[in-house]
Amino acid sequence: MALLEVKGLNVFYGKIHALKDLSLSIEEGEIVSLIGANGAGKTTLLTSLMHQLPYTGSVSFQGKAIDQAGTRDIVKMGMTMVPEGRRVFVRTSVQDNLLLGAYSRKDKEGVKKDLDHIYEMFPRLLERKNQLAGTLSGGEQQMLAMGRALMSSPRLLLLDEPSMGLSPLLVDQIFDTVVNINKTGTTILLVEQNANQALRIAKRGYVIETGEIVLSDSADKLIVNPQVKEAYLGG
Amino acid sequence: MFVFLQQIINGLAQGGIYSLIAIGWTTVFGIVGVINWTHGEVYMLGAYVGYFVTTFLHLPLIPALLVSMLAGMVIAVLVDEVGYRPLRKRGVLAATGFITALGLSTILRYSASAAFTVNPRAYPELIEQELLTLFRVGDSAITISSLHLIILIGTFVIMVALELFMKRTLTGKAMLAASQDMQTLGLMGVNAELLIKITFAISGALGAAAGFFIGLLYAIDPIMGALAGLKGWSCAILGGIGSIAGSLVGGILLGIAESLTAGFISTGYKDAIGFAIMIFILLIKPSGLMGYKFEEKV
Ligand SMILES: Nc1ncnc2c1ncn2[C@@H]1O[C@H](COP(=O)(O)OP(=O)(O)OP(=O)(O)O)[C@@H](O)[C@H]1O
Ligand SMILES: [Mg+2]
Repeated sequence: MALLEVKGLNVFYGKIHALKDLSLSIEEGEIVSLIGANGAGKTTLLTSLMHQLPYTGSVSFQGKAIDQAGTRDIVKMGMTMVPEGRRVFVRTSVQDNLLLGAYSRKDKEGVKKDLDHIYEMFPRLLERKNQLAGTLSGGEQQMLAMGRALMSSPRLLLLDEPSMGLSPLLVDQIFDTVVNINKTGTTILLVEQNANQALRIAKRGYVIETGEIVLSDSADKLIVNPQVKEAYLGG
Repeated sequence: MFVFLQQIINGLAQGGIYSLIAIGWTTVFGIVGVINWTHGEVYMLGAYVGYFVTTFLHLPLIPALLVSMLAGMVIAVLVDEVGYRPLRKRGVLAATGFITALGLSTILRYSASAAFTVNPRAYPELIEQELLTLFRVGDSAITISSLHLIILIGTFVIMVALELFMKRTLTGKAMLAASQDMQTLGLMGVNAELLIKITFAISGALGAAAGFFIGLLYAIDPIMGALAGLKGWSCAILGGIGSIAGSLVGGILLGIAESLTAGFISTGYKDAIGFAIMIFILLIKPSGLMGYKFEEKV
């Protein structure tokens, strides 16, 4: 049984048909990369999976249909999204940003343990825990955004272009972090325009074009696929 | 110098009242994104509730204040439920909320005129009014009225409670986050509607407390909310919209400025000079005294 199973997803913005009969599935423990150009519908997909956008079609998570659930239920069930552009709360301290990530949880003990764990994973956040998030560098903000999402203790983490706007060195760090998060048992759906690195750490990949999945294969095969090479890996 | 100090002390209570009104404005604007013109009316109705429960039920000071604040909460939440929520659900609040706010404000004001008549009413004496000496400068004493002192203490306690709520509880932290990015907060499973209702409740409680405190000092009438509401909004902008600390400072500044104007120039210029000072400060610092600005990080 797949951890996430999406079947025939359709999303409209007014007359714009942003996702067209989109289907995909993710197995427990995988890193799956979703590659696509600007405006392909990547953010739209993740946002509708979190039920922040209305859709038609069917989505099941851990074998249960979640089409009627609210965002809060989905977070509680174990699916969390790191939004595009990081979107940390800039006028809120680093620590409070992390605590807000655990808003849907009631287990105080577990929250405290996870907080320690995140500070272990990102020591820079610990050093800056009382600083306002707006004073962090871009790379630190991305770590904070990922830490905040992990505070909900997700089984499936949706990452929307985590490498966006970062210097090459930081990009490497972010991809390493994604691999580390995955090693601790969190399944990952990674949305990226940086196709090369995204496919190198992934097990499988999907390619999305104007709201449709046009290719799906193992990451190894996609990375050498001539079509993918030409369109997403700079020829 | 002596008169100067005395006028500053005299302006503090009024300043604290402006701060309470301003914080109610700024929290709702920051989180819900609507310029809630009914806030002046919640202030007026809070004053009336205080008048009725002290005059007819003979409630003492603190219970009367609490009832008035509770009434303010209910009224503000109802305003949201009836006026703003339907617009929010259809995603048109930003565009049309202002008109609804003005309309509701007018309806509330004239309903109050019809229900309570336009005659001014005065609270019964709840505490003995006397002048307390704060300290002496040579032969002369700097004094504060017992009413002003009570108002200052009340304002202080309310502010501390608000500060603790905002800084120590997860709901308070979520409110601050909501004023920055409600959409992202939604991703964390936060119930936006509940947060908005709590925001209106807080705003209503603060507005009603301000009305109650004014009732301790002056006669109240159904149109008292118009000017006080406008001044509170101005203080919120002066302080930096969305900033609670800024609203606090903005309110106190206006109270003192008005008191100094009344003492040294003329009571008649009080309202005008207060606004003139605010316009001046905003020319120098358009984002307000404590407005936030972070650069985009890459
Ligand atoms: N709120 C909106 N209203 C109308 N159209 C929208 C809205 N959001 C997205 N779209 C449109 O839907 C399509 C998909 O957008 P989406 O943001 O999902 O793309 P994306 O793949 O995430 O792109 P990027 O890589 O630039 O982030 C685009 O054509 C976009 O213009
Ligand atoms: Mg996107």
